[in-house]
Amino acid sequence: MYKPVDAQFQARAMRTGTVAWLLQRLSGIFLTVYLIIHIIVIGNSVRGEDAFDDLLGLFENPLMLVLDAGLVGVVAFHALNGIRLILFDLAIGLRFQKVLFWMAFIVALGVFIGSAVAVRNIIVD
Amino acid sequence: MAQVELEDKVREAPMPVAGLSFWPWFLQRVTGVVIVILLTLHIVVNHIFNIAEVEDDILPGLVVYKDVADRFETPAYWVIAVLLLSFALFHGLNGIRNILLDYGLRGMGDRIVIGALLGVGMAAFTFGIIGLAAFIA
Amino acid sequence: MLARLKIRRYQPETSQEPYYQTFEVDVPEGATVLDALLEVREYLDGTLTLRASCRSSICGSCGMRINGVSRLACKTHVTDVAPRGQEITIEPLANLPVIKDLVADMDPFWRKWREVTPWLVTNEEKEKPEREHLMGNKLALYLNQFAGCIACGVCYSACPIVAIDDEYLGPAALAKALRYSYDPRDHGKRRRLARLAEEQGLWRCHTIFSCAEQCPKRVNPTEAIQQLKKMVILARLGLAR
Repeated sequence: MYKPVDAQFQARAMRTGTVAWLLQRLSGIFLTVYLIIHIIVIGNSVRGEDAFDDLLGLFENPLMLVLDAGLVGVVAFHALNGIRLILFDLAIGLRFQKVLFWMAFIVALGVFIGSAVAVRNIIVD
Repeated sequence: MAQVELEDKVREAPMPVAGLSFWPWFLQRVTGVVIVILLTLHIVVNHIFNIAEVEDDILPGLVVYKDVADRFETPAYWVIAVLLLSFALFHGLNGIRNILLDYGLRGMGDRIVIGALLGVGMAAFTFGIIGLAAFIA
Repeated sequence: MLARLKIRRYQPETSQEPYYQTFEVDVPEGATVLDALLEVREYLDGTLTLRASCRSSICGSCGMRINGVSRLACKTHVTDVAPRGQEITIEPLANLPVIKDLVADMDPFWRKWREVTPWLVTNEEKEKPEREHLMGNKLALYLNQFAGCIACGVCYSACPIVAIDDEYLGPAALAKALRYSYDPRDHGKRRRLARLAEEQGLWRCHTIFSCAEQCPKRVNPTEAIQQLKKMVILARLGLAR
């Protein structure tokens, strides 16, 4: 006997539900790592006001601001898809699972675009 | 779909399920919902409501020490911050465990992972509280 | 009509390595993939091994992966998967060991099936029934869906979690568990739910929906699993009546 190789990540197996699961997982890992970094950065408050402001000044360049907008978009997706999953756990909306995913994705995209515009306005001014 | 009465579904007393299967799963959802609310507040308060005056060389929406310290004069801000810190750490680290469980983590390996995640969580929480407390001093 | 089949072969008597072999057969316009496979076995290669019986999607024997999608061969028309005469890739069901060619070993599937106490547990030893057990019509119709499972293994093959966690009970077993847990004549809920609420039970489902989308008999295991989760939540929170 032999056991066939896992078929889950074949391109043909990429359906809405599978993509939603993978994106939720990936965004979750990313956000957890970000959380730890964020705690460390904010923890620099112990070094005093000037040291803190200097450190945060490093994040004021355009690249970091765009990444910040991206972060907000990722948070929005994870949160909205997470709500979709909680609805499923209440046995609500199981029949509309694809529609709900796309709603979450598009709103999160909108949040990202909104944040990117806000960031662009900050940079330009 | 049929309307199924609750009596039809569960006619027995709660079953004695021990172990770390149900509560982490359940709390992942509870913390998730709370985080959605608190995190929205957190982002909006920190980056959209500029309480302190904007100085010339600091861009609007960006955080400076003074802004944060001022907000900590409100006790509500403290409550939100500590809740967010603890809930987010639980949600994120429990999420990591969930991913490992999906790949078949059980038994001894699971116990080791729980210990490691608890360690990281406790350390991060402590560091976070110390960091937040520094804003008051 | 020409059907071109690229079949994943595995003949352990000759070689321990699986390999692909392509066949071309002439089949009628409305032929199914199963028709084409049987044509291959009949006229081209008698060693091709596959499971099939009713050829009308009720026995559940011919589950396999066709162009990567788990489905019943007898329910898949050649023109659906190869509208312009393209090659059709045929492989055994995923997530199960392969005995030979397209025949998967269903033992792990059945082992997990048995673990959910998939039968009606009565209390007739304690309470002698004085009349027949009654069930509402609506409920019976709802449960019909889950009673209609033909145990073909397609959902089990489609589930990404089954692919990565050997112990996960899987959609078929869990859907079957609901069929009995929702049955008002059943008195085995405590024992059944205790098993389902373990780590490799309900909690490994992440509502990916691959099972529900690919079931040939329109069973919705995701719905079953979510209803079971609700039962466990209510019981654990002490809200069950």
